[in-house]
Amino acid sequence: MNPRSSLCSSLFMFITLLGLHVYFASSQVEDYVRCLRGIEDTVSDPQARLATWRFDNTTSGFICDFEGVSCWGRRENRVLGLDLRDTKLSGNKIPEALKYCGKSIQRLDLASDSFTSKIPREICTWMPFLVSIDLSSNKLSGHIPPTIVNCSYLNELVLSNNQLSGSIPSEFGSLNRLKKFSVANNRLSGTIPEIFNGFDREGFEGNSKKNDIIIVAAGGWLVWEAAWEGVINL
Amino acid sequence: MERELWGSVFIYWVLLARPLWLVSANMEGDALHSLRTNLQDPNNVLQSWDPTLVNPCTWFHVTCNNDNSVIRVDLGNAVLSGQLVPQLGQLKNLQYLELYSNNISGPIPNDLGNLTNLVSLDLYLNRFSGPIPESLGKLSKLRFLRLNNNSLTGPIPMPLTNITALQVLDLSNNQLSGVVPDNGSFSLFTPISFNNNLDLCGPVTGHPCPGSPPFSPPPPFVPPSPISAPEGNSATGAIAGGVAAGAALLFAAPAIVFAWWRRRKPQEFFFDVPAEEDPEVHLGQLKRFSLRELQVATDTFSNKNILGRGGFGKVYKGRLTDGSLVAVKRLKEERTPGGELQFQTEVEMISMAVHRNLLRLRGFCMTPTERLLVYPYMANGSVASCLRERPAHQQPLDWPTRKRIALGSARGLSYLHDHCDPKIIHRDVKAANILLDEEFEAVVGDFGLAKLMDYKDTHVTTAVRGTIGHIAPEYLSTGKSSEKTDVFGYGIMLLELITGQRAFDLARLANDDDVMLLDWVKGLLKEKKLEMLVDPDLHSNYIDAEVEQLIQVALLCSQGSPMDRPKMSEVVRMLEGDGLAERWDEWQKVEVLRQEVELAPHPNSDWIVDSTENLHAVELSGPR
Repeated sequence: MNPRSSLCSSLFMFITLLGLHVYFASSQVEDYVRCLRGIEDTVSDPQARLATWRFDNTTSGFICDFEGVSCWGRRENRVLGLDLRDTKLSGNKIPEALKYCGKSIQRLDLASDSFTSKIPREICTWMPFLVSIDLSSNKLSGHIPPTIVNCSYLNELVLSNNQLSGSIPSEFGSLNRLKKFSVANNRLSGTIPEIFNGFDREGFEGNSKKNDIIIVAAGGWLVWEAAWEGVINL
Repeated sequence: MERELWGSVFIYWVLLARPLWLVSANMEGDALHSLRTNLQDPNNVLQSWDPTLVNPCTWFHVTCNNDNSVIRVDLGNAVLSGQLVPQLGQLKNLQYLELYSNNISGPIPNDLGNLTNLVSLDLYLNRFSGPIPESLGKLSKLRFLRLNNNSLTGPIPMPLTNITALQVLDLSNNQLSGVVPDNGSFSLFTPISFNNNLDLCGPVTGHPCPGSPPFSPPPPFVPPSPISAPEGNSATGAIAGGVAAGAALLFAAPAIVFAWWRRRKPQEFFFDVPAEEDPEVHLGQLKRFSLRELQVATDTFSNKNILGRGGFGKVYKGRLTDGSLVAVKRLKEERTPGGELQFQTEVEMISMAVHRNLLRLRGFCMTPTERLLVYPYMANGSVASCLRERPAHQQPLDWPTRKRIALGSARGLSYLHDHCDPKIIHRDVKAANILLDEEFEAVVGDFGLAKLMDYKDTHVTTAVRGTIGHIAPEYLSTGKSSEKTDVFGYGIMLLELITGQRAFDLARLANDDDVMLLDWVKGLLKEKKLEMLVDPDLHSNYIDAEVEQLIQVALLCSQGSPMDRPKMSEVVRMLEGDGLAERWDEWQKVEVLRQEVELAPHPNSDWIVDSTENLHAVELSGPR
């Protein structure tokens, strides 16, 4: 009776410790896997560029071999950057699963893809340490969220060649590390914050005036089409 | 003094230039060997680091450039312990020093600052202690500096902020203290790079440094007042609007003209024009003819132009407007399939079967009431017409020509069976369908047509196509055709070629001979009357051995069982002189056995008796 009780007690303690150890060891890996798997689940991948994203592997640092994923170090499942530029990924949302990479990610590059959505207001709550954001050449619409100011370490913000409207948030004045900024070829209007006085003018071209020209050209086309329609019918 | 010394150095260099190069290579090997002697290597990872070799470029985990200078040392995760050596600073061209995930302890040598080509310095996950050397600030090409998860102490050297190429910096999980810079390249780095240290301070860490004033909040941000110049804007807007409108007109005009033209085009397209004016359409190599053109070519399908009558329709001789002669096959009207697209698809498939010994389809014509196929004209007609219907002035086919026809037709059929995808089964192989061009080369015609006519008959699964005398027995009984069906037809055609006789001839009945050519030939062979077999028109101008061989091939091809017949590809090989003898011997054994069974019913009875005796014997041995 007594030896049995002692044995049970030891076994129970061992199992408990083992369980805790396993849980602790895997929790960090689990987050990054959750991040990447969530991205894979929510975007369309017509060119199968995420084919290397296989989650059945359990070796240390396996996610670092995924296409477009860079890590802080080899054999470390800590995501440093996502470079998914020009992969033709598409989706009607920028994946919320990115928040599970938020503790370590500093670079987000989704340029030249086919995302059709607004820029999520929570993007810098999800990923507060972003240093570089490139969402250019997509089909993003809506306003530029002022909450991007919460990415306080931002050096580069590239949003050109989209369909963004509204104005450039004045809150961006406090992004004191910003060195590269472009919102060219969108549908923005309004004033340019003073902080951007020293920035390259090209980063702001192709907004309101271009829109006006498009409107006039479209109107002209419609008028001419109607006129010729009448001629043909006669 | 100084001049003398310089001269001495110069002479030394000239004399020892080559050894100097070797010395340089050895110097790098020596430096690495020093590292090896200072490290404990329980897994023998450094076993291949042999200092007696001329240079270290063949050592494992060492990579050199074309000048045999070390550019990479890859020793990550190698279970090494011990300390680094200052000699590492002698690897002048080193770009990657990868020592991560080991148990290396001691200080980081100051001499690493001499590695001015270094791109990546990965010392993370080790046991390094002491300060980060300030000399690392001289590494102007450094892109990756990962020193995390060690026991480094002291401040972060300010010179590191001068490395403009630096992209990734990780100093987390150490014992560092002091100010974290946020200028220079460090503006790219976030708290992630500095986490979990002893006593770092500065804006990035969220902790104010002692002695410095607390972080002042940023000055209040005043948005700039909007610029007001209404008149200027108005004038500019007007001008811009005008220019834009003008540009729009210029851009739109050509597009409008195109739209107008495109609208007019469909009307022409739907206009009901006579069939004769159908536009010419070229499908690849295939030409679509208008009915009018073919009517003109054949004199409106005049009877005097008829070349022959086949199972699928009549064939007319014709001359196109470009002067070329053609054969126009007019498919029977009552069997015209309804689907134009199906007909066109099948025609395209047939046209892709291109071979010297296959009749090439030149084009087609398709109207609601007509289906015509256009082939090149074969000057010498068909084997059948040459054997039995040739004009008086034409010489009969001589033996070498007949041999060549046998081989050529076999090649054509082999191509249909083995190289066409999908496979084409001819279903009507006979002398009348083996055409002859100007050089009397065999050209297989009338292939692929069965499918063209099958759409109306698909409900009749047992429909049989072909000609009496050429139909394989299994095809006749089951309606299922296969490539072996064609082999049978080919065998009968060979007999026609040899004998000149028709495959089915009621005239032979008058002489008390077999009506079927195959039976007639077998009968004569049994009586060893070879000379009676051969076409009299050959006037004995043939080689007996060759005639025998051809007859053997014909008999092998016309066996009753499809499985026993050779493939057409095998027939080609036999006709080319390979494998016929073995096959014939095998056939003869089977044939002799079959004949014995037929001729000796009594021994069969004996065999039954033997079986009974055997059974009895077993019973006898039981009890014992």
